[in-house]
Amino acid sequence: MSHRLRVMDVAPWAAAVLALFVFPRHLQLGTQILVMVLFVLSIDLLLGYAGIISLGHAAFFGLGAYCAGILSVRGIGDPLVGLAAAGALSGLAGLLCGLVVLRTRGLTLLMLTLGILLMLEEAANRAAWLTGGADGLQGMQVAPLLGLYEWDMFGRTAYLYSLAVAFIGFVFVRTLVHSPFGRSLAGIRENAVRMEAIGAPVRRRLVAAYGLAAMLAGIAGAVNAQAFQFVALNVLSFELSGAALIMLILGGAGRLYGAFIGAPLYMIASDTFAKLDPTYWLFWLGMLLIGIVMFRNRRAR
Amino acid sequence: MVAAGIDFRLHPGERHALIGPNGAGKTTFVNLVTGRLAPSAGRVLLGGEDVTRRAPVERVKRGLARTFQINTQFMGLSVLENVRLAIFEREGLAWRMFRPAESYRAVTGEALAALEDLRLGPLAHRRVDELAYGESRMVEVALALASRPSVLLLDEPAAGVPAEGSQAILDQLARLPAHIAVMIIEHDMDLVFRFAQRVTVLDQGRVVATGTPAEVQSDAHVRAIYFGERAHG
Repeated sequence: MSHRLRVMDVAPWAAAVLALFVFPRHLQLGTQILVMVLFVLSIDLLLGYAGIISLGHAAFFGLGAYCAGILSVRGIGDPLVGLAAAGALSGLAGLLCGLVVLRTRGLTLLMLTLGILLMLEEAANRAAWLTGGADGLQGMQVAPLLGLYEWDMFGRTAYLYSLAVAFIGFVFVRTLVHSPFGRSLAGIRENAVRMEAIGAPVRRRLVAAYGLAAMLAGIAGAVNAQAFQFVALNVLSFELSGAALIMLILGGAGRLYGAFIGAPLYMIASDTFAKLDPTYWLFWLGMLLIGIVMFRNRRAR
Repeated sequence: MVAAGIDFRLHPGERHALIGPNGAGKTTFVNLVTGRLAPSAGRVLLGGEDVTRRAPVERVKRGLARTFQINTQFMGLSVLENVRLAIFEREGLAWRMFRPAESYRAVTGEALAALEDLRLGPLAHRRVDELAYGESRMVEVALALASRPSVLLLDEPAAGVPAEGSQAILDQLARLPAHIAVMIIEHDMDLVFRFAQRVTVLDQGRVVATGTPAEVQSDAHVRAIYFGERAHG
């Protein structure tokens, strides 16, 4: 796997910039897609590179969203401050969770990650005085970006903001996976026993990866909160974790570009099916997923 | 009880073979020494230091390296990447996150030189899962050597390798740096007796004989184990 820049690395970003001009009326959807690209990228780092499967990664997305949201409700509206705080909080939470869950493997690990998510969701639901509970966090006052760019009703600022953050996130992840640290994660994924035998502190390395992935997920959540100036309880939902996993699987894990294929494909398909058939759109989405996976399996053979 | 009362010493630069029938406890012994298994009693000393309670990773940092009986490499990575991983760990560079791994030219240079030493240079950019079995057994050795060990434990390096490949492995083992203490587990007696200065025989988790290859070969108890001959008292 070469670290040199390829057309494939640049193309999605060029497309995202082009979309600003070609689809000016769909910038809200575009922002949602970019947020999910960053979230799915964080899951790719976790699953595709470190080999850690988690059903509860939305815990960090939600933590970041509520962090940025609550700060802005309480008068700290600078989006970059909110972003940094969300990333730090989620990263720290990821490290602490990683210390616990990464003592386990397989189904136990899976259930632990899910358990953490469910607990956080219920905590957010109960702490309505802080989070708004089931009604969602309202009253966010996000300051103009860099003090200059107001959050417009067309979603242009939100789109450019999420594009910039997603791009920086992508550069970070790309740099990371090509670095000695990233290669060691690949080694652990390939053969953790051998990594230990060459002197790698496997669990510490995985905990670090877990923390970094959590930080990125938190940043994605913060952007989501700031762009839409609202935080709903579903940012801490199992459905969100599951959907993001599906997006990654659709796009391909461990290849970086999986997020750029899977997230737009899933979200545009969902949006389209929901408009065409509001009652049975999930059925059509399921058919699409089955078709794609079976087609890919056949090609792989 | 898979290992009991084993008093085993490996001296600097020594070439020592550990042999015994299947199930004698040879690999278990290696796992105890390397820390993959914790002993219920006894000590493991490395360079005079008691490492019994030290994690496997810490023993590697103190100069202990091993190979595995079954190929245990990074199969989806190239031979060069395999060795480079080991060098990054040794040099404490594996936590670096902001430069591409390929940009560490000294590491890549050392990895290529190490592969050349083991006649694996032409295979550097091939994926390990594309190699012939005998070649991949040498990659096992290359990985262990990349840690720059002072003690090297080779678990059946020639296992499953045809005769001509086995000879090639022996040739490479003969060229290992003289300062490294090497213990080899093998069933290939020809390789054992050509390689080892001393031999220890394990049976049912216990040491039954230790000595030069000739001494061990003529030991009645050893002959009984391997050939079923009765020991005459």
